[in-house]
Amino acid sequence: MKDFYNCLKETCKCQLSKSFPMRKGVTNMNYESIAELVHDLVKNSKSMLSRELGLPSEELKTNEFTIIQRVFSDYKVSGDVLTIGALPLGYWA
Amino acid sequence: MQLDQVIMAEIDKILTRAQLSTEMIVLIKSSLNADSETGELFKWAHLTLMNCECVSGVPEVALPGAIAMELFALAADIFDDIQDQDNDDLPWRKIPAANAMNLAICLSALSYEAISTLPVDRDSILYRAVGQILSWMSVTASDGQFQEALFDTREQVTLDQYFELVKKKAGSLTACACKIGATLGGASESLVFQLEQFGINLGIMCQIRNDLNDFLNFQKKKDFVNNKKTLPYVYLLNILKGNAAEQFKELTQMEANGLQRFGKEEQGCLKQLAFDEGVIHYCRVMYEIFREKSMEIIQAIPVSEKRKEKMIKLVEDNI
Repeated sequence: MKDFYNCLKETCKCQLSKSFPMRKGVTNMNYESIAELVHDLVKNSKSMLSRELGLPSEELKTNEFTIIQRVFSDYKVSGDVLTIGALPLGYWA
Repeated sequence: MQLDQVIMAEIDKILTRAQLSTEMIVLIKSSLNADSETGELFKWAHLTLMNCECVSGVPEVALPGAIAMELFALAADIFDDIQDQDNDDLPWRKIPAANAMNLAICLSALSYEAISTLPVDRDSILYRAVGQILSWMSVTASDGQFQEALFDTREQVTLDQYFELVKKKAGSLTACACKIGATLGGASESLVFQLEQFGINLGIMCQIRNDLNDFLNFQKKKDFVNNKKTLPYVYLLNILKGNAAEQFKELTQMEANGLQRFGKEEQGCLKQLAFDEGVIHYCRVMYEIFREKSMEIIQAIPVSEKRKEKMIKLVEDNI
């Protein structure tokens, strides 16, 4: 598991710094790209490093990466997928 | 008098003024707050008042708009449950669907009655402005509900389409509460717009939460077997490839084919698939993205930090 998060951290760092320019000032999100990245990370984080150029990350914004990183890091702490999925009850929808 | 008591007293006055039958009054009163999971009362009215307080410092001036919002949101909930055929334990699901529809129609009309008590101003500008916000929300939300029913019958729905739908269906209601509160608080046009955007993001957050919490709640909800295109469903539909995609497709078609019941074993398969393929991670990521957008909007609005406190706490509590 430690390797997994180191891997994720390195991948995100690399993407955030220079390899993949972030979209600036774009308000719409690329839902598909976020889904693909999350799925890749859940299934196999190492595959990301081996296919950096094929990643959809150029479609993502810096804060979206940070949030993905935070969610996976919460999972690392709790070790329980249900804990990260526990969202507060009872408001508007 | 506590604010909740004030709200209830005002609703009582509206019901009396409308000269409704005793049975309808009893049904309305038993339906108000019936779906509150936390015990919190009049959540829609409070959201409206909170926005008013944020821009003006005085929540009470938005009371007629807050009550209108509470009544309208209840009507929307009832229509939604009739459409989805779920939440069987709620009062409006224990009566015939035709009467549940009458109840919802009555509540949406009463919401306009609630704003008739707004202060009389020149050309009834306030009444017209709030009435227009309510009407626009009603049009947008019902179009969202209509689209949702169409999506249920489609094999393919993209994530873009899902979020566009949720913006209409859930985002329009929360945006309406925020907009009414801000308008009655005397906010500038740009501040009303900012709070409307805040409301949209808040609504999307809440819908993501409901979708995730309900996805594997097979006892109370029928989302999956009804092919309701919730976020977990749409994510799996779009992300899975090969055998996993085939397995998911079989599960989605099981009940419709009538060949096999979607029983315990199938529920277990879906649960495992959801865990293994990152449904919870994706929903949590999207929830956090919209929560961050909500927080950014509140932090950027030009009102004192003191007045933002409740709104910030609202978003922080949704962690």
